[in-house]
Amino acid sequence: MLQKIKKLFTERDTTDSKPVILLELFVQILLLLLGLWGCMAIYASTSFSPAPFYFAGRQLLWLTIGLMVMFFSSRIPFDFYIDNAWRLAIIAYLPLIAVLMIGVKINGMRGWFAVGNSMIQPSEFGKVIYLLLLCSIASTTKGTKRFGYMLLAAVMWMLPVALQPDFGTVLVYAAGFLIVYWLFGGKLRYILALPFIALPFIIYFCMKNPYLIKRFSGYMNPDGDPLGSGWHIRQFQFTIARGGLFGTGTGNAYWTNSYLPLPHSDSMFAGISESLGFIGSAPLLLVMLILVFIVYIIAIKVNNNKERKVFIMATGMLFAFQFMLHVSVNVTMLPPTGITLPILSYGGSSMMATMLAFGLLLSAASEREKVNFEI
Amino acid sequence: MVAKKEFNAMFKKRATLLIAGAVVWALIAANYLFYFSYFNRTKYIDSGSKMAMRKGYYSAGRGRILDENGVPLAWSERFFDLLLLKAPELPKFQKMLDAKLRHIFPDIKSCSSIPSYTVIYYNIPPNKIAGLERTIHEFPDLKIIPRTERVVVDYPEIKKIIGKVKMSDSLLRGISGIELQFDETLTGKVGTYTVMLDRHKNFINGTWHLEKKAQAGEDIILSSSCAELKDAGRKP
Repeated sequence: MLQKIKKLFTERDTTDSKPVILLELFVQILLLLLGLWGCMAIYASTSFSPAPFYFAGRQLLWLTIGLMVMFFSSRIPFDFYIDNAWRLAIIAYLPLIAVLMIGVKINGMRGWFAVGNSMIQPSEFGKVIYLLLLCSIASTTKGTKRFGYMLLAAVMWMLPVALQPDFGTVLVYAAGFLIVYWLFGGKLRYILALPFIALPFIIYFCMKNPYLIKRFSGYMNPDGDPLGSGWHIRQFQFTIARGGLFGTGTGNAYWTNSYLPLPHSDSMFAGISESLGFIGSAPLLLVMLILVFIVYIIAIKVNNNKERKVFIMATGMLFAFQFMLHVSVNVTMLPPTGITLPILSYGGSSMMATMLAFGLLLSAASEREKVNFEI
Repeated sequence: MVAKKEFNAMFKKRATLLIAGAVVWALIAANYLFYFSYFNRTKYIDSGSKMAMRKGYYSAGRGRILDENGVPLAWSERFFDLLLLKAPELPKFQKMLDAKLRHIFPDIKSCSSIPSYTVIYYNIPPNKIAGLERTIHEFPDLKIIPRTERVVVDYPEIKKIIGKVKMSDSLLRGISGIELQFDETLTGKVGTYTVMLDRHKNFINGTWHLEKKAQAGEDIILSSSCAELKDAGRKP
């Protein structure tokens, strides 16, 4: 058995497809488990509402559709995506501009299109295409040109999102740029110069949105303004404390239901901590690490194609980064920013976009246009 | 081929660094989680409770005033009113609230024309209170507020003798007439409870705990009949 597991993680060549197929299966099973975990957590965080199954039921529907999206997008050869990266980028970029003009404003952020009873968030769908575009640019350029073009593309994608304003997603886009540039062999000195390049933008957006500075001051001293800028920080801490080691149990998450801001999306991890306690929420970190490690193995073992390797690893790491950002905010390692816990938080756009990204990852991991798989 | 090998080696090294970073982060995050859920848990629970737990007072009801034949002359009644703290800002939500309220109270005014802190419906019938629960959850600025009123028989002469009451510390206290004279007997003793409030200051279901039971005020029986009291009230 051990030998088989070892073989699974260590041996693979282009003619022996089994190991990769099993790794792909692991990824899909983990995503399904996370999705179901999320549905349960959404139910727990809305259990005091008059319709406790409303969000959880819808999320289950998104999960089902998301799995289908992942399946179908993984069937399309990766070369199709990479060859059409620019066309796909234009298709994904235009809604980012359009949403600023005709989008719906929710919680002070103009980031959604209203389609019937549903809301579509284009910045979520933009993430995967953005990574694809960066990989495409990086593979066709070299040296300073690579850095310059990639940075230009990144700034172009981040600007409309910052104007919504959705700074959580801007951070994810920024991380996407850094990850792709780093994995493609980017120079450290350019990366270290980035904070200086970003400084004027940071100053401009802080002046335009003074709440950013308030959030930071609230984070540094939550007791200075406990009902204002320190409110969210304190609520996260109280919620986790109430959960303790073993949790209050699903359906007894009083604090999550009553005090946490957006408990079924931006405060999901703290909500899970109250319901399931330390022993129910800490394993999520482990599952994230296992998932990223499997993606790492896939990226290492995939054939000698730079774009595929980098895209696989970058997709996994971007998922991990958003996960880390959400958890960091929820355990008060970082000042509050609105960002969902991928796969687990409520939201059709987030679920579809993440599943689409993993679909492309699985497509990049396979070589089905060259090898006949035995399944 | 050499370039590819070099790239693969570089990629592996850099990807491993990213994974190592994720592992280090996970350890730090788990440490934070453990700190709040175990090490310093009591401190945060106490702070949270201080913010959310409230001690409240309630009365079991003021006693009745009866005439010598046992006819009630004054008694307390509890009513429930619908208060709107603030109308929704967006017209879309205003329309939604109007539609939901008109489903229960067909002749209610549109919330867009109502100023803040206004009682929009007095004396909600008990059968309609349950129907409002969902709307109140969706629109937290809508609240059901209880109101206790002292009702006296509709004879001005008797009203003069019975006197008046006013609300003080959650209790109706007599301020004139018989209500004042027998205030201690009629008032009873106030009870206390603790409850957890949500961020909109509403009670959270399942968190209400009785601390001290209230003691109802006693009825008092007057030595005169209703007719005699009317006669007495007519005298200057």
